Parts: sequence; C-alpha cells; structure tokens
Amino acid sequence: MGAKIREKFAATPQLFSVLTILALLAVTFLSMCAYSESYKHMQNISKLIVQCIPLAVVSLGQTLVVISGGIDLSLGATISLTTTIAARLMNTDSPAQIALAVLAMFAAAALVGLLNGVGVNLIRVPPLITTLCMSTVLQGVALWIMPVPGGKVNREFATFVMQKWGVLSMPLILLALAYLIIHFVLYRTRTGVPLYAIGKNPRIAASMGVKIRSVSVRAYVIAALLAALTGLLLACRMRVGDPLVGTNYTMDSITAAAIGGTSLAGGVGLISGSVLGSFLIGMLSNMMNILGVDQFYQYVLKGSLLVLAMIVYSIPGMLGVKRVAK
Amino acid sequence: MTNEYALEMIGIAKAFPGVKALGGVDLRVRRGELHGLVGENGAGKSTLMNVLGGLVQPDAGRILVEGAEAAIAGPADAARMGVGFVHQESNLLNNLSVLENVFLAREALGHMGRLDRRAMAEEIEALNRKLGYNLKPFARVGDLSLAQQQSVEITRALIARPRILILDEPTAALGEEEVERLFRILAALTKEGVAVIYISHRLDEVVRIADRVTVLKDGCVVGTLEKREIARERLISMMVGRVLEDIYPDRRDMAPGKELLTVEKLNVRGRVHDLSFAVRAGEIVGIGGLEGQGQRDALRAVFGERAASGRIALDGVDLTRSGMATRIRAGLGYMTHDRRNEGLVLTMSLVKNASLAALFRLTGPAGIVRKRRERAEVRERIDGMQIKAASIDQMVVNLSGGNQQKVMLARWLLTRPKVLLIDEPTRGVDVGARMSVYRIIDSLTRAGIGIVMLTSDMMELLGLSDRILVFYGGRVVREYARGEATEELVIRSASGLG
Repeated sequence: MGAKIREKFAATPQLFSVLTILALLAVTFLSMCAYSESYKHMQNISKLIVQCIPLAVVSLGQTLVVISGGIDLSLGATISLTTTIAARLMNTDSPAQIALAVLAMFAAAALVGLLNGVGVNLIRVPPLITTLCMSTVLQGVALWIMPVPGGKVNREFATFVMQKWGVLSMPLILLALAYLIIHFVLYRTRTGVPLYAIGKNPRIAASMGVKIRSVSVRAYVIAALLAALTGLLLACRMRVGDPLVGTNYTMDSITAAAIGGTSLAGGVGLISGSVLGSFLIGMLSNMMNILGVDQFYQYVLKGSLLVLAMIVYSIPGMLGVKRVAK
Repeated sequence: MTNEYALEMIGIAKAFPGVKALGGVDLRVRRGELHGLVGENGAGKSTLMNVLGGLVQPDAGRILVEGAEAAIAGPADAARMGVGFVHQESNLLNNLSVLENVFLAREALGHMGRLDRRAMAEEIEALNRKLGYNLKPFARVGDLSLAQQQSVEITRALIARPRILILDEPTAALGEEEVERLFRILAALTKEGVAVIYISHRLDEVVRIADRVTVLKDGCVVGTLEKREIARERLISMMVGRVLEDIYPDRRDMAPGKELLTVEKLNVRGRVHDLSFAVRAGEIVGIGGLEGQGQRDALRAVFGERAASGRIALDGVDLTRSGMATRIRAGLGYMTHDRRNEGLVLTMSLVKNASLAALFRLTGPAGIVRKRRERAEVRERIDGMQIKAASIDQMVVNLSGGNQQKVMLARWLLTRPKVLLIDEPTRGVDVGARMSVYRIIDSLTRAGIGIVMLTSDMMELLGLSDRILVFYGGRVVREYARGEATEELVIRSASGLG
C-alpha cells in the first residue's frame, strides 16, 4: 500500500504542492477562526467558497493552456465580455431568451478560443502576443457593448444560479461539474496525455504522431468556455454586466496555476492544484479584507505570491521525490 | 511469396539548403533479415531513415512496403505502414510516464473512448517479460536511466507490432550486458519475420549480427554486402576513399609555441569523462570522432557554456570558475556550428554582428559604444577577410553562407583571442569560401593564436590539423600527430576499434 502511494507521488510530484496548499488553507482557516468568532459559521464558509469559485473555474482553463505550453492573457477580457453580453440579453422574463443569451455567451467564448488557437498554431504568433492582442480587442468590444457597468440579469435566473443549500451551492456544483469533466478529459481520454506531451516538447510529440495543432486549439477553446462560465457566475452574482470585472482574473488565474504546481514552462501540472490555489488566493484576499488591509497591499501580496511560487518550485528537489523506479 | 522484400526504397533523393543529403539511394531489405546500414558522418544514413520514418519528405523516390506503394507523409503514416523507429537521441517526453510515452497517439481505448490503462499496463508487462525488461508502467520517464529510457523506446516501437524496425545507434548508451540483451531481442524479432534496419558506428557489432550490410557514402550507396562478404576491413575501405583535395594551407613549417590553454580532468555529466588536453600557441588541434561522442559538449564546457568539473586555465590564468564573459575577456572564444540559430543575429547588420562579442573593448566608460572605432575595426577585419558585402550596414541574412561564416570569424577576432574554439569551421560553405576560411585560420596561428577545431569533415580534420584528438564515448581514445593520421586510422579509432 505504502509502495503504491510512493509510486503515485513519483509519477506526479505535483501532488506535494497540492498537499502543501491544503496545509496552507487549513492554517489560514484556523487562524481566522481564532481571530473571529463568526468565521467558522456555516453561512460564512459557504459565502467564502462561493467567492472563490469564479477564479477556480477560470483557473481550470488557464491550467490546461499552460500545461499545453501556452498562456492565455485574454481570459480576463473574455470574462468581462461575457458579463456584458449576459447583462444586455438577460433583462427579460422569457426563459427562451435567457437560454439563448447563455448560448450566445458560450458561442462568443468558443469563437475567442478558436481564434486564439488559430493565431498561435496556424499563424504561429507566440501565445503571449496572440492572447494579449485578443485581450485588448475583447476589452474594446466589451466597452463598446457597455461603456459603464449596467444592464440587468433576470432576477429568478440569477437567484437560480446563485442558490445555496447550507454549505452547498449552485456555483459549487457547477465548479465540481467543470472539474470532473476536465479531469475526465485529461486523465481518461486520449486528449489528455497529448496536452502534456505538446507542452513539454512539441517536436518530439509530433514525431510520435500527436496532432499538435488540434490538441493546442482544443486547450484554448476549453479555456475560453470556462471563462464564459466564470462570466455567467459573475453576472448572476452582480446582476449587472461590468466591462472591467474580469481584469484581475488573467493574472490571478496564472498565479493560481503556478501556486498549484503547474510549470509555466509547460508539460507539468495538476488541475486540482489550480483549484486549491484559487481558494488560497481567495481566502487570503478575504482575510486581508477582514483585517482591513488596503487594496494596494493586496496587489503587492498577489504579485509576490506568484514570484514566491516560482522560486519555490524552481528549487530542485523541493517538489520532486527521489526516484523510486530502479 | 510474391516479394521477398519487406521494404524497398528506390531512388530516394533529398537536398537541404546547400547540401545534397541523398542522391538517389536504393535500399532493399528482406523480410526477417537484420540489415546493417553504415557510413561516415554525413553519409546520409539518418536522413534516409528519417524519410522512412516520415520525419523528412524526400524530393524524389518511391517507397514500397511489402511490394505495395507506401505514401509516408508523417510519423503517423509510417506507423500505419508498420515502420517502428528507435531514435538515436532519446525521443521521449520525460514529463510523462512510461505507459504514456509508449502509448502516446496510439492509446488503447475501452468503453466510450475511455483510456484503458489496465490493458495498456498489461501489454507493457507482457512485452517486459518477453524482452527481459523491468519497466514500471507508471514510473516517470525522466527518472529513468538512459539505458532504461531506451528500453522504453524499444517497447514503444514494438508495441505497434512493426513489420520494419529501424534502430539508429541503439547501443550508444548501453552497457555490455544490455547490448547482449538487445541482440537477443533482435534475433527473436527477425525470426518472427520482422525486417530490422540497424544503423551503427560500431562496426564490430554490425559484422557480428548483420545478415546484409549497405554502405553509404556522400549520400549514395557504395554497395550492399551479403553475409559471407561482411568483414570489418572491407566495410572500412568502402566507407573511406575520398581524395584529399589540395585546398589546405601547408603547415609543415609550423612549430608550436608555449602552452596557452590547459584543460585538466574535464567532466560533463554523462557526456565527457576525464578529458585533459593542452593547446599551444600557433597550433591547430583537430577534434574528430563520430557525431555525439561528447566532442561538442567538451568544447562548450571549456568555453563555460556547459556545467562541468575539472580545471581550465588560459595563459596561466585559471578560468575554472569564470563565466563566459570573463573567459572572452581573458582571450577565449567559441565559434558555434549553428550559425543561423546560435551564431548570427540574422536581422542585424554586419557591423553589429561582428562587434557583438567585442563590445567590452569598444565601449566608453558610460557604456556607450564608440561608434567610429567600432566601424573602423570591423571594416579592417572585413577587408582582411575579403567578405563580399555591399556595406558593413548590410543585414547578414542576405550574405552567402561563406560570408556569414567569415563574419563570425571576424567577431571572434575582434575580441583579440588567445585561443579560439571553432566548432565546424566550414559547415554549409562552398569550396571557394572554405579555402579562404582555411587561409584565415592558418594566418591566425601564425600570429600566435591557438586553435581548437571540431569538425565532422574527415578531410578537413586530416588536412588542417597539426594534432588530432579522436573522441569515442566521451573520451579521447587516440591522439595522432600531423602526418601520422590517415582516414582509415581515424575511422578505426572513431569506431571504437583502437
């Protein structure tokens, strides 16, 4: 049994980072419980979880792209864009139109992902540039649709998407669903391993028969779709659209992935790490809000966190176990 | 039986920019035979096999597998035609597990497109038992030794049940015992009717196990020997036989001066072992050997580009712990073999490229480039080398290969080196420019510079070097003085035959 676990850890050393974040989460939680009596109430915990979920969802997508050897700087703008689409189209009582609006959000995102994938793989513009340009374009479109926060999301629909049952909630269920689907795709279908393969070395992957372009495009499309889901959650939470709401999510999703043990060089990473990384970022933000720390210090902390994660993971042996295979 | 051949390659031709790699090669491999493929560096062995493996598209020629025309446009096509390929350099993804590498792009799918890991693991275990390997399906490939990684490659090739198996230098990373195991595996495969193509520099191995051998030279087939005809001496004499052209400067009058570069016990992990050598003023030390025997790693380690242990001193100054910038300032230079990717900034001007490594000399106290001096010095070098360019402001991308090579030489001369390490002085350069590169190198030594020259061109090695160090398996196996070396002797040493 012990040997089996050892083998598992040897095959995926990032499991250590998952354990580390779990420990950090526990420490944060316990110290906040000690600080504030009401912190550990079910209601607060549920609220906290719901707060962290939009970032967790978009981080799943970012992780896929980063594993595939790319990076997606347009996810934040995609989120903003989809909230503006939602707020423009969901100011209605007709369920059919709301369904159509949801469809429009995901269709727009899919198109964005496809364009990113095509730009990176067929026109061969580096991912950093492709997605940065895409981000600027999308930001422009979002501001064109809605220059200032506004519009309206149908109340019943928003309540439906945000409803809670104790510690459970609809956003949590959506995150769980997204997680399970991505997990299935990554580890149970033939799309997953090639994603890691092209992230490590596209040339070798191609020589082994992997269709590297198609795999990479898929990663960008899935990431954009997850950004649309994040946009849906945010729109329903705010009940308005906001052309700038997504801005921080690009950087935060990269940080979450990096904290979770995903190598920004590609080829290495775990989606569970990114989800936990998002929760860590969310809980730290929340903690600082409670403690009354100013917003600018929070920026400094988030930036430092990313650098710290990269430093920690760059130290050899910090992550890796000694080889077990003989 | 309609056709005795498992594979026929007919009239395969391939030219790369500036080089004709294959000039109409015919290769026929019978079912169930072990077919050796030998030849010097650059003879075209790897290109030919890359054509078969779908990694290179030929300019002309046909491929027949089992008598039927085969269109091979990519690695996936090759696999479909039953071609398995075990590459010379590890062609695995070390972030993935053994199982994932073996089954990448050919996964076993179970219910509803789900990966059937258990079935895949069992298949690997079954092959393990058959081949005598001990691979753990879920171990990460990056944690395995080189020999184990090769077992993974062979497992990957065999899991698809190939009809034709290519092995490119399979024994380079293997110990004696592992080599014997590989030979047993190959014997069993040929008995089952698999056609094996075996590329090796180790002629003893080829003589021992091959049923037939094809010898390539300069992109053409010299001949194919039947089992009874295969002998070491015969193979060597077929591989050699190029004429020593009269394009090398006469250096018999040169007497080396004082010792400039001293390298002691240089070790690069897994690549170079206990290398010691010295270079004297005015001397050209040629480094020969087959590709990938550690020569390049050694040179780069001396320049400080690769981590290494050992002692390196230049003209009495210990440089063991210095970075490359310090080594350049101390008078050491390394001219890369890869002009386009590592050497020149193609989109920059000639003058900027030439002065790049010498900016430490050409800048004023505030770090501002002394432009007039820069241009004057570059111009002086350019004129001395007869570089054909419209002006020194021309982009180097528009220069010919030979002129680009001279720009790189000019760059290193501007650093005022004491010892220059030159990696492939004339790769992709035409004969006229080659002669002038040789003349430049010769004149440098006459000015007291020591040269270390790594070359895979046998004639260049024999024609220009004052002393030849032959590498094999990360060590210098033999040293020859000028006049002592012949092509046969060097090939013999380079093939591990002493």
